[in-house]
Amino acid sequence: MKQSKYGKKRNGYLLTGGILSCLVTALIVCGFFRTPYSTTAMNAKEKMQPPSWQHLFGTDNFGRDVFSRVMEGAGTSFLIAVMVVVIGCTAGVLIGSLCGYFGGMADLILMRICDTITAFPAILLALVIISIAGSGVTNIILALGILFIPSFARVVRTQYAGIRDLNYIKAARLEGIGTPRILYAHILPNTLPILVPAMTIGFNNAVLAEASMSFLGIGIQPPKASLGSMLKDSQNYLTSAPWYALGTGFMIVLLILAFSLLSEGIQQSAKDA
Amino acid sequence: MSLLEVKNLKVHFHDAAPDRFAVDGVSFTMEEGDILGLVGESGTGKTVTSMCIGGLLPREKADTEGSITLGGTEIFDCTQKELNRILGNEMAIVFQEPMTSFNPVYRIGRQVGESLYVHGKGLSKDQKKELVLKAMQDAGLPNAEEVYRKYPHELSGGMLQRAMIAAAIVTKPKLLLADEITTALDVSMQARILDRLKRLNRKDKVAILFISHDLHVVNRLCRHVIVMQRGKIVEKGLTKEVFENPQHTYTKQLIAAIPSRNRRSRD
Amino acid sequence: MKLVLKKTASLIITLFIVSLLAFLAFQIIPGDPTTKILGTHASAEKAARLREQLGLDRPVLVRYWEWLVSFLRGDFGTSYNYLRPVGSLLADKLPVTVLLTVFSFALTAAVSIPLGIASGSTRSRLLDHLAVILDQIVMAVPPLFFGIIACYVFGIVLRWFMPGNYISISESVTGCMAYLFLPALSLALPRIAMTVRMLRGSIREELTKNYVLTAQSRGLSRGKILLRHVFRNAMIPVVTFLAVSAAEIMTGTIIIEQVFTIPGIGRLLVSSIGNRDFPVVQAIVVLLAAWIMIVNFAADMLNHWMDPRLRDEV
Repeated sequence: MKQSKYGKKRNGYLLTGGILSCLVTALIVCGFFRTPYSTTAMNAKEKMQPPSWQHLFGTDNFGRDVFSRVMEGAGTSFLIAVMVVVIGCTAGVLIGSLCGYFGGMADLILMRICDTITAFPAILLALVIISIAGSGVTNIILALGILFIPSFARVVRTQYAGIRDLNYIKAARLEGIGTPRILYAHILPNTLPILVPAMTIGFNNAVLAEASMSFLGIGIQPPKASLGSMLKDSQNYLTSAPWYALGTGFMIVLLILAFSLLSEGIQQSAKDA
Repeated sequence: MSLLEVKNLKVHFHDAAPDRFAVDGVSFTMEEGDILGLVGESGTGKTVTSMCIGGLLPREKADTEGSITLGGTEIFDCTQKELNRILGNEMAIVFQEPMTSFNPVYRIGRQVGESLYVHGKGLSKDQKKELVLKAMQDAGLPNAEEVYRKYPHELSGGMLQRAMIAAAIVTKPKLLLADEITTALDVSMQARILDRLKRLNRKDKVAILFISHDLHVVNRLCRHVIVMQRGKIVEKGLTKEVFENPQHTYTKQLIAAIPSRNRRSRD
Repeated sequence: MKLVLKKTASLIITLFIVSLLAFLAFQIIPGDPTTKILGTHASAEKAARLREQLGLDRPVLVRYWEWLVSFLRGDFGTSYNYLRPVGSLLADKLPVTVLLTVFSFALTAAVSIPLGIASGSTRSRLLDHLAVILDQIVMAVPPLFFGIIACYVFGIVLRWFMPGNYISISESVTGCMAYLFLPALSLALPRIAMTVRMLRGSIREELTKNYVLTAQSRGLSRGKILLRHVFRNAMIPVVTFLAVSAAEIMTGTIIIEQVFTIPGIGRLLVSSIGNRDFPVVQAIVVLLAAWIMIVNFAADMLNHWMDPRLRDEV
């Protein structure tokens, strides 16, 4: 962090994170509509081509363009991760806010359950759930989403329990403002500085969890492209087509790095403001 | 030679406006065994002055000018190593917040004896412990043996502040900087601590620079007083005279601000 | 001492609850395991006999109790798929995973603590910036991807080792450790980055505390202040985090074992999930859960020893 002339801090995180996130999002959104090549059509003539201007990341064992598949795969991973965060965060905020604001026995029990669940790595529990409920995109989203609830609930609860007794909330109560409005219009914005990084961490974990599960063959099933299943595929061709693995992995790193940096940047600028 | 000589001290923080000095040309001297009060409202540069005397002001945060000599040694010319030989040995400092000034994970005894760990090289373990217990008694802590083994969170603020004083006097320093040490405490604890400081001053000839925003407390303890406003000294002299016949309007305002019951009780 | 007993009791109760949940979770699965073993064309009589043999005809709680008792005796049930005791399936695989986990955890602790201390106490801005950037990047590389890169670079390009050619510890201790080094490193790297970041933040935070100023005012040098005062305080949150790391690393082995074809329980778990071989999955999950709880327990105890303030709460 450099101190510029006017005492305002330059925020390198926000800049790099912002640029990378825009880039990644653009690639993903673009990939939903159009990819340079078909992601499924096989082409025996173009099998395992090294990277070139025609095929930025080369081609795979079926002659499919790796870059196009990475775009689609990143889209799948991104959508799953976003859904997981949305489910986890919404339910987490709901549970956490009620527990934190009202307290009591239900709070005690729910938080104990949350503690127990968060003690376990999400991937392990997700594997168990998938092994019972069967694989598929919906099941993955649901399994991970549910598993991510406790971490959000805990963070939110702590915030609500702290803010609940502050004077401006008491004042709002005395003014006769309804509880839902107090909960979500008055207190919720104040939890954002904690909630935003929690969401980024959740997003990263979801990307990793999805990639790991698909890699293990328990997640997204081919021919649908997901970064995890592509990584698993690519491992078989590491000797003949290393670009396949490198391109796919690079995208995972980019996806995680971009949004972590962005969140870090947002936190920094919130702190400085 | 005076024990402490501060000459034309100026401090400018890097992030402040160019013409805003935290301390602006402060000069005073202290002799051995003096008790000098430094008063003024918050933000007048009292603490910055004491931090400078202790060499604790981070050099990368502020520019300093002027001279501070302790027993003839120029503090501003000292290397960190030389400074570390003085601190906790010839000069000791007690801060405002007793609760946070202790490291929460270590026992009181170890922390009170820390200056001996740094400066008392020739002493045996038992000798050190004896000195620590003695200092604790001198600082007015009852059952020192017990306190020795306690952790900071197990003691009250008053106990901790007395332990802090014990830690400061364990090496028998010539100068004690006391920065708002009674501010966080209740009135009866204040009185006990002031009493202890007076006794220490009489017994061991410790000079005390007592910094406070509370004129009432300063009046009870200090023979001389300096009144500061916006980094400058506006009035100095014998405490009694300053109180009875304040010259500067700021001093008058400060005295007028003392609650009347307190003013009566000092008579 | 009383506290240790209390904590141990709560550990045992939690383990008990987790085992019950793990047991119940596998009872609600649709589908009959006898069909899985005998195929769909088996006679009802044969299926009933197998159900009896597997103990599936009795009430759930009774079965749980029996399962728990035998589990504690080391009898983890019978695999549907291999029709062999789960214990014997695990016997030669568990040590490999444990070895990998311990290796990786040791690597994490041994590298991250000195690095965190160095980057937390450095006053060089350049070094600090470098550490932050490196940290962010390393954190973003999943063990999975790093493992694949390592396989490619060290296995295929440099030919330092043969990916897939695991050397067991009974063959050669050094060979085994050498083979496990890259998988352990893959698992450790992101954890190292996170721990370094945390320790750095923690040290920075502690350095602003008043007790540091107090120590300074007693003439302690910066090094001594760090050593005598700051580190112990700064390590308190990091210990908890390292426990989480130990749990994450253990789970991470499931994936890393696939990448490096290491014959640990991870591979067994994945193939068992694929085969819906639930006794095996169940046993592995309970063992992993026990490991995680024990690690957390150890961290808890360590924290209580390090932070006297915690000793008075309970």
